[in-house]
Amino acid sequence: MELRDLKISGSSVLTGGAYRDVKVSGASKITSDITCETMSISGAITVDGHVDAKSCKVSGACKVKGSVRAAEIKISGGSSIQGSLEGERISLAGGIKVDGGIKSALLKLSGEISVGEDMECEEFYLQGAIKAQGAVNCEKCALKVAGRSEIGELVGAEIEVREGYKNSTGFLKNLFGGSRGSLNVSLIEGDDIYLENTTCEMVRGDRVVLGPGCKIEKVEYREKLEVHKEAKVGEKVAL
Amino acid sequence: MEELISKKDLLIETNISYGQLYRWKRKKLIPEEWFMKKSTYTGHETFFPREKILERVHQILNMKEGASLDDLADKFSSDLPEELERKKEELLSLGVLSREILSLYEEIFKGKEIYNFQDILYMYISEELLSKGDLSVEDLSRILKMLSEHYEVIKDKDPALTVYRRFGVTTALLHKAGEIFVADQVPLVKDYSIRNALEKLKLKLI
Repeated sequence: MELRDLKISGSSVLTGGAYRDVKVSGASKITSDITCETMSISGAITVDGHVDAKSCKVSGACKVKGSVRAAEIKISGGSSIQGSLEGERISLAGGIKVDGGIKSALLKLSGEISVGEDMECEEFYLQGAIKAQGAVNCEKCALKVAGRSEIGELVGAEIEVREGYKNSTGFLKNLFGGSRGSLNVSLIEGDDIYLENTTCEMVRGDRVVLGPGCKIEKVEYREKLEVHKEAKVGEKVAL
Repeated sequence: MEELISKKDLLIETNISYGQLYRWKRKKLIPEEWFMKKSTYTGHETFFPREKILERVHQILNMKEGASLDDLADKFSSDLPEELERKKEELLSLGVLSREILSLYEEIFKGKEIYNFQDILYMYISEELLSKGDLSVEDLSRILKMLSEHYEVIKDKDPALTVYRRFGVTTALLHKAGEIFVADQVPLVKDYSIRNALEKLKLKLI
């Protein structure tokens, strides 16, 4: 059967189902799970179910009560997802809240992001502030942190945490209160680790560089450890 | 109580890195439930079931040449290849099942040419249980009936199978180790792990 398109703007109540291209804007509500090729919702749309698509774009102040699964997911604005996100490429920009976890090959986050559960990605880039309750497991991550970021556990192969917006002024500086970006995390484990402005109870790695602003209770390393003069380290153990 | 190994010791003993360990976890080569967090006097440490993790790491390291991590993941994952089907000749040539067990089943499934994954699993379990001795074919058919009626439990709960016999009547129990205690009988089959059978079977089939 040929799938139909769903294109609506304004304010209405729609049922989910299977479609080809879905484009909904305004203040509508989709009342059940939706499966489609492309999904684009903007405005103040509520989806009362899961989204399964090839690509999914969400902008504005939308709310998805289920999970979103799509090869490509782009969410911007002040949207919230009550389930999880799963896709090949995921980018979130703005003040996004995800109650579940995130699973993606490539993950790009900017703005102020909150994630309720575990995150798994091959590559993870962040510019901004993050609050992630669970563990972040990634092959490679490069985080430019702003504000007071918090992550439960950060593990993987290559881990790099830098202070973001070091030289920025104006809007971004105001947005994050002008203070230095910092990261608070309970455990970091990886092969190559570079940290700045990071407070952590335990860092374990093969090659570890602790840059300025780090407060580390204990570090265990196998091959190399470098500690910047502006870093505080409690205990150093070579394995 | 199964013996545990700390993450630190695992890395030293197998000479793998954090990056490898966590990559394999992401690829589901190492099940989430094997990562067990425990408090120790030095803080939190992760432990693994020692035998299982060492065997798994060696399997991964030995099979790495040529096979992609995703291929490996299919072999190890607890998702079952339920859509898989094999003909009798294929099963014989793969060496998964013996001619005896196949002909026994041919009597039950008359005229069946192609077996699906569940059929193969039950045949495989039968073969393993029969080779332990003690069980008769009648016992076995009752056990298989119970297994086939509780396929969902097998899939989701990772149970073990224990079989008792008293006054010639066999009783089979599916349980999760340690949760059932029967004191007045000695089991004929004890803690037969269906998950182990599943995983061994998958390695042979795929």
